[in-house]
Amino acid sequence: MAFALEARNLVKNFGELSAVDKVSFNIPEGAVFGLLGRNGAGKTTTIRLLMNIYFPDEGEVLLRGVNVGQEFRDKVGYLPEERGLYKKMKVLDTILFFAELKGVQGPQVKSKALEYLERFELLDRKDAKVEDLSKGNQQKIQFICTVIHDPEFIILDEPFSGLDPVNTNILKDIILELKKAGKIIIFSTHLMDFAEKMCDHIAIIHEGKIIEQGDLSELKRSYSQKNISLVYEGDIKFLESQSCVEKMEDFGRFTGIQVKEKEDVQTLLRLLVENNITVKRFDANDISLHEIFINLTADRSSPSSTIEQQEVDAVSTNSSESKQETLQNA
Amino acid sequence: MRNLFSFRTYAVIKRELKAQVMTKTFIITTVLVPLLIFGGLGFQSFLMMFEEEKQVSIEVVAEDSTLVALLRKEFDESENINQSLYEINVQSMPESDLKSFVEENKSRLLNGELNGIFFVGKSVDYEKEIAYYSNNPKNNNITGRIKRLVNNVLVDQHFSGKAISDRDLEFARNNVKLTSFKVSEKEDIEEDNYGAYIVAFVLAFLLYMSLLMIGLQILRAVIEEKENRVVEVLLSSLHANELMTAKIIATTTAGLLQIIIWMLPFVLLSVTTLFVLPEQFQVSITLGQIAYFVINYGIGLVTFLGLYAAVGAIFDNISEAQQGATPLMFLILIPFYICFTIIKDPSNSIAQVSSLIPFASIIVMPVRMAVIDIPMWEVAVALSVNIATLFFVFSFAGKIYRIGILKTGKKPKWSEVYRWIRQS
Repeated sequence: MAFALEARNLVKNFGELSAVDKVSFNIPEGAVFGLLGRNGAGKTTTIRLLMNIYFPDEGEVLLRGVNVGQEFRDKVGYLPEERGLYKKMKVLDTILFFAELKGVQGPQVKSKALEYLERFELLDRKDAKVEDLSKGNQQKIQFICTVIHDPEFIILDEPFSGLDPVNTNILKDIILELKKAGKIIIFSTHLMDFAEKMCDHIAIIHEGKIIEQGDLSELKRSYSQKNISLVYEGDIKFLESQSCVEKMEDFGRFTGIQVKEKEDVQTLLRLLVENNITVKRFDANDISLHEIFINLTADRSSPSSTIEQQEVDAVSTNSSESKQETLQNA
Repeated sequence: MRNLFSFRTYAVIKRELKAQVMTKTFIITTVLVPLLIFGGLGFQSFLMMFEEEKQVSIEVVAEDSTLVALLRKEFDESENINQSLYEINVQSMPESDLKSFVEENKSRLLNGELNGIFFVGKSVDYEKEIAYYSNNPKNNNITGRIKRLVNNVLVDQHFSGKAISDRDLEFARNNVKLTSFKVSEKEDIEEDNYGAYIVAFVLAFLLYMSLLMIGLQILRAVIEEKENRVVEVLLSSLHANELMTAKIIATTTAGLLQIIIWMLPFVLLSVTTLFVLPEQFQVSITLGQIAYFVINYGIGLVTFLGLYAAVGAIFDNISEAQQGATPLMFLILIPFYICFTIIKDPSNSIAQVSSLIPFASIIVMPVRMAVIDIPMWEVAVALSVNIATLFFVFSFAGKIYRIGILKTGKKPKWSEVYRWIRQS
C-alpha cells in the first residue's frame, strides 16, 4: 500500500532529553490521521520534524516515497498549537500574505479569502486590524490562513480549542469538506473525543515513542475484546477483588472494565446479577479511544519524574473536561 | 547559503517593509528629525540675523589724542564692519576721567542704547591693551571686530615716522597663516586639507549609527514574531535562513531609507556649498576608495545584523535581548573609539592592527583609508577577512536563529546556545 507520508525511525534529541525516539508511522492517502499524545509526549516535535522545521538526528520523512523538502512545505497548511498572527496587520492582508508565502496570489485568492471570511461571518471585519478581533475570531482567521492556498496536507494542532459550539461546527464541516476533496488531514491532539469522531487513522505517542498505531476501527476492535462499558446502579466495589477483572476505571458516564480473558465477560455479567446490581447498560466488546489511550499511556508513565507527575495532573484535568463535553454532546 | 532568495523571501521582505515603514512612528520620526534639525538651525540663524540687523552704538575712548583721527579713519574705511549699522564715536580723555564717563553712560549701557565703551590706554612697555565696558562684554561679534581695527591703528602709529615701507607695515599688521601639507606615496606633495578627516568620520559615524539603530530594529522585528507566535506558521512555509535573510534585508532597507532621508538635507547642503568651500575643506577621494567604502558598508551591515538577528532569536522579550546584545555593542563601540586615535596619529599601530582583524576592520579600515595611504596588501587582507567573517557569522547566526526562534519560556544559558550551534 502506498502511503502519502511516511515517518521512518525519526530521532530528535535536545541535549540529554530524547524528545522523539525512533518514531515511525504511515499516513495513507485521503486519511484523517490523529497523532495523539499527552502534553510533552513529542507531538509538536514530531510535526516539526515532518515539515523540516527541525532536522532529525536520525531517520527520514518520505512524501510519496521521496524525502521531504520545500516541496512538502508548499503543500502543507499548518495550524500550530502556539497560534499567532501579526497583530497590527489587517485581516485580509494577513490572509493574502500567508497565501503569497505559499506561492499563491492574485484575484482568485482574494475572492476565496472573502468567501471564507463570509463563511465565518467575518466579512465586515476584513479591513480591521487583527488585534481588534476577539480571540475566537483570530482563531478563525488563523484557520483561513492555513487552508487559503488549497494545501494537499492540512496539519491541525488542537483546532477547536477556543471556539464556541457554532464555530466548532462550521470548522468541522469545512474539515469534512476538505476530507471529501481528498485532502490528507493530520490532527495532533490530546482530546480523545474529537480524535475518535474525526480520525480514521491514529498513532499514539508517549514519551517520544509511538506505542500504538493503525486504522482506528481495527484498533478498537482488537482492544475491545476484553472490554466492557457498564452503566449501573449499586456498589460494584466487590469486583476489584475478583480474579477475572484485570482493571476498572470510572469514566463518569460509564465504567470501563477490562477482564482477563474473553470468556470472563460472561462471568462478569453473572457476578453483577448475583450481587443485585441494576445493570442499565452492558456493552461488551466496546472501548472508547479514551480508554485505549489511558490504558496505554497511564501504565507506562515513569512515576519518578515530577514533571511527568504534573503532566498527569494536566491530563486528568483535560480528561474531565472532555468528559463534560461528551456529556453535553450526548 | 543556497535558496536564500525565493518568492517567499520576497513576500516576507514586502510585508516587513510595509510593517516597518508604513507606520505613523516611522513617518513622524523620519520627517520630524530633519525638520527639528533644520528648524533648529534656521531658528538659530534667524536669531543671528536678527542680532546682526540691530544698530550697534559704540564709544571709543583713546587716552592718546593723536589716535582719535587715526581710529576714525580706520573705522570709516574698514570693510570688516557694516558701516550702516555701526555708529562709532571716537574721543580722547585722560584715564582719570574714564570712571566718571562710564558712570555717566551707565543708563545708556543698561538700556541697550549704547553697546559698549572701549578704552585704549597709552602703550606701556610695548604692551597693547584695551579695555571694554559693556552690559554684555562677551559679545565677540563686536569685540572681535573692534580689537582688530584698534590693533591696526596701534601698529600704524607705532611705526609712523620710522623708516619702514608700507609692505613692512602690512607684514607687521598680518597674523600668521598656517598651511599644512600631506606627504603620501603619490609623487606630488599635496596641500593637506580637512576633507579626508571629514569623509572618514562621516563614514565611521554613519556605519556606527546604522549598526546601532538598525541593530535595535532587527532585535525588535525578530522578537515580535517570537512574541506573536507567528514564527512557527512562517517556518511551515519557508526555511529559517530565508526568513532571517528576509528580515535583515527588509530592516536594513527601512533603516537605510530613514538614514538617507535624514542625511538628505546635509547632502543637499554640501552639494550646493561644495563650490564655495574653502580649499582646506575640499575632499579628494578616488573611485577605488568609494568602491571599498560602499562594499565595506554592505558587508558590515549584514555581518552585524546577522549577529543581532541571532541574539534576538535567543530571547523572549526586547529588554532581555538588549542586555544580551551588549557584547555586540562593544564590538561596535571599541573600533569606533579606535578611530579617534587616528586623528592624533593616523599611522598608529593599534589602528593598523585593528583594521585587519574581524569586526573591527569594518569600522577602522575605511577611516584609515580616507586619511592615509594604505598598501594594497592590507586592503586585500581586510577585504578577505571581512568576507570570511560574513560567511562565518551567517552560518553561525543561522544555526542559533533556527533553533532559538522556536524556543520560548526560560531564558537559555550561553552554554545551551553553544550546544545549539554544535547540534545543528
